[in-house]
Amino acid sequence: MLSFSKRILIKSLLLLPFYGRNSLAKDNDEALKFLINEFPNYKLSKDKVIRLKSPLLVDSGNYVPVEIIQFKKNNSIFFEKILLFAPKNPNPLLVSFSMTKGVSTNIKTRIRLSDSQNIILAGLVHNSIFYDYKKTDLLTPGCDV
Amino acid sequence: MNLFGKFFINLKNNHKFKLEDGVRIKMMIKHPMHTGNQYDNQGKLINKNIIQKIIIQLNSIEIFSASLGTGVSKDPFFELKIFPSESSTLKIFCEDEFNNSSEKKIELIKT
Repeated sequence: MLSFSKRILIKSLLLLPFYGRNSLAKDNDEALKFLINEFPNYKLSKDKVIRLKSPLLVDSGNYVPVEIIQFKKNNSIFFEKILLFAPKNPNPLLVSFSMTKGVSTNIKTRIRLSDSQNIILAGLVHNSIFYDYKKTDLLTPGCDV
Repeated sequence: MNLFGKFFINLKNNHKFKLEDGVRIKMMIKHPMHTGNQYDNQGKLINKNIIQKIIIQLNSIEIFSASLGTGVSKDPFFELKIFPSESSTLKIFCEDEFNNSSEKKIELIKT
């Protein structure tokens, strides 16, 4: 019989190939489907132009800090509108920003989440959408408290 | 009832800025942002009341606007950077569902 520490070591070695893999692929597909349903006339662009920064785990869904970042190498792209969605919230559209060229795209804000879910960021440029999404887990939900 | 509270902002009047650095705005507006799904202590549903729009103007020209939904947290907080080309007047205006409003004016001086 192997000791406890040896059993843990063997288990972790067996799980090593799966480390860092995306085990939430289904959720991510849902995020893409949500975007396609919301913007049927727009083309989804896979280029990484904007990024969403959000915590992996938060204590309360009432205050979830999020940050929108535009990559410096793609700084010339100008977004007509930037939208944040949380598909499992009662009202999925969290906030929409419209700006002129004199304003930086890097914006920080705080949002409310009703459940652990993907936060979706969408930046609209003419007929295409640049997007990013991040999964945030909650310990306590926020919307109806 | 006006639920707007204090308007916190990191800029003071006559704020001096360099053209290449721009102006970083950090603001927090005191507002309960009732979603319409919350209950008070007596078990009554609290009516929805959120800040609907935040507008930032530079010399009376709108440069930034945010349309808020119920998913924005209580006491909304925003941080962004603007790049004015000259000394100008910054005006931040916000309005909630019952047409209560709050605004702040700041003079920006180019050095």
